[in-house]
Amino acid sequence: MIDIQNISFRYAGSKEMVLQDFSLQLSENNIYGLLGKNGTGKSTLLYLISGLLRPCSGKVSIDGVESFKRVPSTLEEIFIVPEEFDLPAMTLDKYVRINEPFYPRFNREVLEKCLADFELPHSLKLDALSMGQKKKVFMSFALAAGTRLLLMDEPTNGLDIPSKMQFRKVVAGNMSDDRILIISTHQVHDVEALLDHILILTRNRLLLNASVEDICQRYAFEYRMPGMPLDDVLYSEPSMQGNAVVSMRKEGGVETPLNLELLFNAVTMGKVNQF
Amino acid sequence: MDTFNINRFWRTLCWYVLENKNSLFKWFVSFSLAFMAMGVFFMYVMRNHLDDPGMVKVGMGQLVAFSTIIMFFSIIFANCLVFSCITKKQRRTAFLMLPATNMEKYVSACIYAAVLAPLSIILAFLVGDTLRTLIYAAIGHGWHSAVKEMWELEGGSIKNFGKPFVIMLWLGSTYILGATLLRKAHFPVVSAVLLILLFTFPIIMVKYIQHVGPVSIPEYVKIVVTLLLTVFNYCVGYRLFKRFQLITSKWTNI
Repeated sequence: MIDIQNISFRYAGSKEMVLQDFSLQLSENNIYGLLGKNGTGKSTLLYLISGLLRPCSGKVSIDGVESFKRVPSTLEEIFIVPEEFDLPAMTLDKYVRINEPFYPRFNREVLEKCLADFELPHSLKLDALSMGQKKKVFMSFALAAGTRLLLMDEPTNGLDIPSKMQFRKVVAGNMSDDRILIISTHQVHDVEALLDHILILTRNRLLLNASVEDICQRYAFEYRMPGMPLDDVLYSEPSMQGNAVVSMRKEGGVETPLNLELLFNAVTMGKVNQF
Repeated sequence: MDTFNINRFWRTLCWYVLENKNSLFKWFVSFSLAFMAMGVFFMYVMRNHLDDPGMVKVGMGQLVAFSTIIMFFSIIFANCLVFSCITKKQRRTAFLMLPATNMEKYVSACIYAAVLAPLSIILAFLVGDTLRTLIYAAIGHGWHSAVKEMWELEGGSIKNFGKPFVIMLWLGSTYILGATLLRKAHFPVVSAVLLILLFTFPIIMVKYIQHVGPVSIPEYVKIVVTLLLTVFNYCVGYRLFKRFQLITSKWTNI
């Protein structure tokens, strides 16, 4: 559905390329985790996909239509939840009434269910909400909009601990076969359980583009007590439980759950790169 | 689907106005108070001549002239506000991602800046002056309305207002073009460019007349040319708007 072909991008006034000859294909029914260090271009990539920025060369297309053209049929299928956003000074009901008609598959029931999951009432004054509450309202609206592409930039920033769990529940409960969700985040533990595809971005290129299934089939993530052998380990780091390690999964070995932080560190250190 | 759709345009316009209704309301209230205060000041200056109809007429004439100048510049300035509400990255994201065509969004923003904001200023003048008139009438100083004076201006026919209206349309479109291209300082920059043109155009005309001899351009040709320039400004503005990006250089919108 999303086809990024050889794009290069740099910001006006900057000589440094954020992305160079970058290509990527993203398909439906996936929740992508977009990870990377600060300044590697995660948000820029989201803006390029949504058509808010124009690549210097190459093109980004959604269902064959270039996203920067910003045509209504494409925009109806995209919703972006930026890290910082503004909600107008009006009630939620009024906000829904003026924005709902732009999204043909908008579903009020989904909105109400998401709000209920986030423990928010239906009648709200948007300018009277805290940042975290605003985020929950906006994410509920985004999910209710029924767009096939949903982009979230640091969705769990500003959410309290119970809300992060609610966020996972709400997102998991509203994924459909035709939907793509891209979550750009540094808070890997908040979204670890949701993701089914990992993209790790470094300056200009992708370091990792693999499904969680492939990663877990190939690698094992475990803790080893001090003194245990580390000769088969690809990457390790000390932790409270001993050494957190990434190793090649042995044939017939038990599949271990993904440790995203460990994987990220291992990949960015160049210790894991076999895909 | 992806061409201009009147229903979607209407929704976009409503969206734009509702998002900006607070600014529009603040403008209206501020201008109403300003026009009322200005009227009160004029009446205070004329306090010793309020019984002399001739002096009152002169005073009201001056108030009308002054109010007209204020309205003129405010309306021109209002055109610069075409994209002021999407200067912030968050609002810009919401507007650019709204599922409507670029044309629908651009026309909505232009209607807001070139029609609704100026209308709020004119309405503010009517309200401010009416309030001032009512207050003065209530305290026994008679009925002296600048609005009535403006309505009864000699020679105030549509024909006489046609040319200034067309010039105003062109000026407004020029400021809209400036505000579409520039992220900040559009009013001083466009004003400076217009002033330069104002000084250089007569020099060019004098040189031209020296070569070709005196030229007489019919009035309707001037009006048609001004209207064409207005359309040109809006078209260029639209082409620039299509290239709007979320993050741009400090000075431009594209």
